[in-house]
Amino acid sequence: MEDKNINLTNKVAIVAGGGGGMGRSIALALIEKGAKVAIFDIRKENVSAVVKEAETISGLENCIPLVKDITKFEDCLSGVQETIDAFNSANILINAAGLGMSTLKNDYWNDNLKFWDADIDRFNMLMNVNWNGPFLLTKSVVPHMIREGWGRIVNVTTSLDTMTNRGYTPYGPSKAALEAATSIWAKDLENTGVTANVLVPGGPVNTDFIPENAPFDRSKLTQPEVMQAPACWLASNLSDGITDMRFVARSWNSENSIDEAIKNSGGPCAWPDVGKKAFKPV
Amino acid sequence: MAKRDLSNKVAIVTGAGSGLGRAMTLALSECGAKVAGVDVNVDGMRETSDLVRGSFTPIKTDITSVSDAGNAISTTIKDLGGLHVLINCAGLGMPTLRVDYWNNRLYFWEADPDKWQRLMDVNVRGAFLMARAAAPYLVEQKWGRIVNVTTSMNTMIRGGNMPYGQSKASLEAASNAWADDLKDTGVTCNVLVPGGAADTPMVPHESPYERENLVQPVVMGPPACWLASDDSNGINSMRFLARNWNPDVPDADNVENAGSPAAWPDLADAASVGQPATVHGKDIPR
Repeated sequence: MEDKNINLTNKVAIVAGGGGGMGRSIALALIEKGAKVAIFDIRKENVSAVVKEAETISGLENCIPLVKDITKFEDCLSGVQETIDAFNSANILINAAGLGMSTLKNDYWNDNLKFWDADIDRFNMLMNVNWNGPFLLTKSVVPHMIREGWGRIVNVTTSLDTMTNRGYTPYGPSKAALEAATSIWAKDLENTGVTANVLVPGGPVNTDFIPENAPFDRSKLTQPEVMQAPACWLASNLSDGITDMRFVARSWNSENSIDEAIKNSGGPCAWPDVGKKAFKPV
Repeated sequence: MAKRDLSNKVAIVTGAGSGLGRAMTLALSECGAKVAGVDVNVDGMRETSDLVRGSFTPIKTDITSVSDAGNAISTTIKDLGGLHVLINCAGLGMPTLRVDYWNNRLYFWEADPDKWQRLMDVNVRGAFLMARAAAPYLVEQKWGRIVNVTTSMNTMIRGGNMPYGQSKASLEAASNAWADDLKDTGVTCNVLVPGGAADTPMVPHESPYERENLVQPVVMGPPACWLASDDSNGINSMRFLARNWNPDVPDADNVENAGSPAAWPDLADAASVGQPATVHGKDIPR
């Protein structure tokens, strides 16, 4: 398919959460297609490991480590600056950093966490990473993209039912906030050449969000690699003009044409049709 | 329609010092409820107090403080003899980031991180801290109400509306999740919205709206009183548009005309089609 034609040699991506899971998977795919990638993650050893993996794909100097805390504005600003210093640009941001429910309760899948039992410090920690983080990092990089007249913001949220599921405070509400934010950002970025879209796996993924001791056959979970093809397409010029949408990676079929893949996996970001039923402000 | 009798109810209204919170305070107390007003705005609560024709106890509270929120709940229970209803109405609007936002659009990358944080803390974390402090007592009592004030679904995703929109999207999702956590406990969680931009300090007087064309805060009263009463037993995980609520018709008609499911369950159902629900007989966490 046209997937093979995707060439990202002039692209520079920052992948937040690139040290593991879906972030790592996306980062390696972007590098494979020729992009230069900065791995933004607080987990130092994970970052080194991914940078090393990247070297085996495209040699030295196409991947830099950014061992930083996404919840700190100064870390976000310096991360963007270091990326621009290294690669002369920063035109793609993948917001894949996130904490899951296991941050609050290790066996949440068989014993739901009631919202009133949520530990405050862990609640804050999750919210800071899942909603402050994408805002602070995007705020840091977007002015540069606007100056370049081209850019991509790709936010990883979650399934729309997960946002409102029982036992999912605060993960669900944190992702609802990011979903709404993506839609607002897309509108704020109209006519700038910079787009904002949501990319979700489409189900629970075989990452460390699902703890080791969970009783699942991990091969049956969605694999992080499903994110690669739609992420590479979103990162490319082939997705020019596509904004304010959400894509379900597991419905993206690389055997199909891109138009077919968009049709099968894409929809509007957030809940615009639900909103149409509400009253418009006076 | 006859006034609802809330004389056996104790309610906490956050944001009682102005706007929608004040309107709901007045309505609840007029129906006989004992109302504890929660706000950082002491002057505002004094004005509310002057207007109340019933029981009103102001408790100065910063809902973003864990200890303040806990104190508001325990003081209410101690001083007013119980707790039945929590209305999470306190919220900050776009003017806290840009006073003239309606004609000088705030692009999200211009948002000041500290002000961004403050708004998110009040609008989401504050509601959570109050709800988590109240829930165990309400669950134990086997009767209770949590009512969250969010906003119109399209306002949540309107351009130039960050972070207000995303904060309310988050609270909307939380309301649905909390309703589910509370299932079968006798405690319910619902959303109540005015149904459009309302005539409150959140829409500054310099803005170009005719004030009388805005939704008047008083519309919040009748549905808030219904939600606070036994008449709404079993109503859970819904959202109500106050301006569609007609006090002159039966409750069932209002539920039909002003109510809909909270959040976006239809989209969620559609999105989950084709996903495996279980692995080895266990529900897959989503």
